[in-house]
Amino acid sequence: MNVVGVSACPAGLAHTPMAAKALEKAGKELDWNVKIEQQGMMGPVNAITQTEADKADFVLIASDQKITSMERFEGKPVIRVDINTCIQAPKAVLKKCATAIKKED
Amino acid sequence: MKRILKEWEGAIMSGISYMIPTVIGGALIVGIPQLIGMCFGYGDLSKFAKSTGFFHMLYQINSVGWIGIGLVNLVIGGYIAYALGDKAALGAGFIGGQLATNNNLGFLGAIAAGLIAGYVTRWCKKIKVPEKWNSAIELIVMPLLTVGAVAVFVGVILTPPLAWINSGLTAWVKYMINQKTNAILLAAIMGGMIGVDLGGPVNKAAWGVGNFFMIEGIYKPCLYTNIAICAIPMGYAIMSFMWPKKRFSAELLEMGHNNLIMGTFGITEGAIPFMMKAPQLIIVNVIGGALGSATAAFLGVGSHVPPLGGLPGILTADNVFAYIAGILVCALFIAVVAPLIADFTDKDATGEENVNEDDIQLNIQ
Repeated sequence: MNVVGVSACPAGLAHTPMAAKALEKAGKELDWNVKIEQQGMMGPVNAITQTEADKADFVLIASDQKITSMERFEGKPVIRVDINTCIQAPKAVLKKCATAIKKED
Repeated sequence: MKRILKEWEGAIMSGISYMIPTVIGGALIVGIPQLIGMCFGYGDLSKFAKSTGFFHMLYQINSVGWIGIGLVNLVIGGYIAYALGDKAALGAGFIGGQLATNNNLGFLGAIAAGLIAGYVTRWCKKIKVPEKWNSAIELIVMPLLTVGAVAVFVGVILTPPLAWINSGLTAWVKYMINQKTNAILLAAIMGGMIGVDLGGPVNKAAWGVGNFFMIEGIYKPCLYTNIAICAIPMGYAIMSFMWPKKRFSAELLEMGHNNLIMGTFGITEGAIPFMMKAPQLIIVNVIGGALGSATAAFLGVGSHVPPLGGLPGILTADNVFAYIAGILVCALFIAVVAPLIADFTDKDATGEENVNEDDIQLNIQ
């Protein structure tokens, strides 16, 4: 599985990097390719390029906020999940998203 | 309905996240010259408005900070609109936010204006015209309709009720904070809210309300939140120094030490790793925050300049003892109680996630 995503929280200080790191770590454990961009206080960190976006099976948005540069992900299935859930259960979130995508196809 | 409310929450949180640097920058640039002035015995810098020299410069810097504070409604209105309708919504959102300031509609007015601007922009994007008309729509018609909608709905129709609500709300908060029992109750609620999700929507709602009243010149609600914000991470810092090292995993011990910095500058997010390890700590954080803020309110904490956050807030508080006592009560409560109800060692770390997969809400777009 190739997964790209974006995390963002109101203050952009703590939840944003925590969710990104949790999801990437869970990705490693699942042996998936997971890259999460952090849209925090300082603007995009660990930004996702167009090539990476094109390769992705789905896009995971760990936030209910405004995410910038969404046009990169056009045509890809985009799934929004609450950021706290992503921090608490990153593996379950990734797995559930993958199942949901397969069902859509 | 639930979906719309969720969308509003997301938009308002986006607005707040863009507004944070404006309000913090503004408050610091107001506060620092004021403090320097106070060191020389001048509590009121406005008497140097027309003079020259050092104190006039302080006055000028102080005025710039007030511009920042005055822009808060504009920024939040603009970015709520942006979150819903992208770039095309910004203009109407900014104008609506400033309208809220000018007509005394308060933060509710700014939020309403931002939402209206955002949704009207979305609706405008659905207008289908022959391609040759596209540029005319984008350049002229969209701004006309979006700003027009804000002018009609917020400027005319909603101004009387929003102004009534805002002045009622302001009067009510003023009344609350001037009465001891009510002030303590308000402080307990606001301090408790800070502890609920440590930087999440509930925390930011309390923080936002404190700051919106700060713009209106009412500083106590902001102080109440500031005390809890500072004291909760401080509690985990004190805990990590107070208890034997063997009670913590190496990682959490270091996080605890780091919370000394988080607490000093008023970043509640520092306490998140502990709450992640043991979710039952939410109760401790809420009670701690409520106790700390209520103690400060009981002892009559106050401020006559926009309060700074964290420990620097000691400098802007009128009653330094009350401010410090509030922080100590909350921090010590957390430091003593948290290790009694939570295990911070690695003992039970199985790497399993205890969240039911059915409880994870996916929102596929």
